[in-house]
Amino acid sequence: MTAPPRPRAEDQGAKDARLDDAALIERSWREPEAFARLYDRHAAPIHRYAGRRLGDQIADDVVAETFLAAFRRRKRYDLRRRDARPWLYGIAANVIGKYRRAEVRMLRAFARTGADPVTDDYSDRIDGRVSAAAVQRDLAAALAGLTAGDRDVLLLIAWADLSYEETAAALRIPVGTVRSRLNRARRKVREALGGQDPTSSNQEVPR
Amino acid sequence: MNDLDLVRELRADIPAPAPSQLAAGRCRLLAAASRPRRYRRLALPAGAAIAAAAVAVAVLGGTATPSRLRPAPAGRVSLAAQILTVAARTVAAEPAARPGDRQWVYARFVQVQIGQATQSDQEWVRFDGRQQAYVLDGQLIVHDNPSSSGGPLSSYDTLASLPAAPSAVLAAARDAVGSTRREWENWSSGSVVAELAPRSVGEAEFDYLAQLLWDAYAAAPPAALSHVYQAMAEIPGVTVTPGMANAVGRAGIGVSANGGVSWLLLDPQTYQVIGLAEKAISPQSVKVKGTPVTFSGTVSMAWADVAIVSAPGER
Repeated sequence: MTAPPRPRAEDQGAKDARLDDAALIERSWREPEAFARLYDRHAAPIHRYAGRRLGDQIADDVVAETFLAAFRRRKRYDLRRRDARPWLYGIAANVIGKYRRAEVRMLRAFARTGADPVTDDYSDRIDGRVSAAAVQRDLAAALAGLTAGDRDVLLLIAWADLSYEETAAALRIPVGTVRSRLNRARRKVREALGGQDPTSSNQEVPR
Repeated sequence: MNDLDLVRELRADIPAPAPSQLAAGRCRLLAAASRPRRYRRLALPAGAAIAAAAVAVAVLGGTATPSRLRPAPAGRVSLAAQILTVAARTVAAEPAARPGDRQWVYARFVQVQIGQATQSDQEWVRFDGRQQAYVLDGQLIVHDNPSSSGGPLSSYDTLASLPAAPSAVLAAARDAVGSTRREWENWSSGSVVAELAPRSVGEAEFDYLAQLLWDAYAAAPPAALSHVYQAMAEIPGVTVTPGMANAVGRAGIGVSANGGVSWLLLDPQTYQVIGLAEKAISPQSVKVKGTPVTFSGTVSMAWADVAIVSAPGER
């Protein structure tokens, strides 16, 4: 197999823009630098997701570690999965898991004081901080009380906008497990909110 | 509004990251992408390295063993040379066994990291490096590699192309890694920790040779392996630590060129390479915005259960 002639740099970006994630990852097998395009595509939403869980500062490290780990595993990527988001969020979930104690501590502090350490981390970019409503503090307490696996499922669906199938692929668990974990997590959230209006919360998320 | 909507609204005003925040991660990625795979693959949060270096605690396989950190007394250097000379003699007596280009190498790679479950990956690679295989969701996936570089054959050939005389082997290592600290850092891990980059010519030579041996996990020419051990014996400051264990608990002799920050682990009988180990860092030692966090440092890695087989999927 001979490598195709290397196009000029400005052509490369335009050409890569048409490649889907799997093609880009396959390209990175022989041109490791091509992996940077995957970073450009997905780093910002993953950063926001990690920041929402752990704050702005830790998110920088989570994103860097996630993509380094993904880069090292790129030759094991299943090329049948054209969209790399579930794979990347799955790796990010592992990295975020290392900060589990910090995450829970911040959620508990939020629940206790009404001041959210996570959004405080963004104080230079979020205007008019107000003390959180009681419902948010209850929610934070509920999230802190979930198991790590249940929290991952709930937040991948609610915050990262992954589907059940994508969440299953990300966490390498069966879709049935995603459903049961989500149900359990939502039940605990409802309990923490004082069991208010349980009937309205039984509807499935449209997907 | 149901419970899920309420969760969706929590912290929903968090903004997208500024481009400058993403730049550092991109740089780290590109640094890793532009370098060959190194065995020193510590992944620390930014800023953690300095704190970590100050309060490092040795952990190996979960057991604190601070004594392993102490630089060996000067007398140990000659012990290291003696052991490496025995190692050189032992491996040279092994019959040469180069797998065929189209045979497959099965290996289980095991990595022990702080704060994380032990990672174990199984993979197959064709000896010529042209194809690779792994199991995903119970299914064997075989894919072509566009290039054979970095495969078992190229690692074998790189070792085989080394000269025989120890001084010539060390000169070849210096040619490859450069002669300045800056060059060593560049050659060193893409992932971070300049603190762990080689600090002396001897360390740089040792690291380069250790990397060659590590990469040649599938098969190494006995004569070349012997020459590398003889060359390592000539590096000043090399020490040995008996009684260590690799990532799967197999007994090994640690050989280090940096006073016990990282070791190449050799089987005490056959003197084949059985793993790599690093000084680990206590998770409590790092704080991010005042909050202690756990992070991963690679502590130990091993190629376990290496076998030459005729087809992917076989072990």
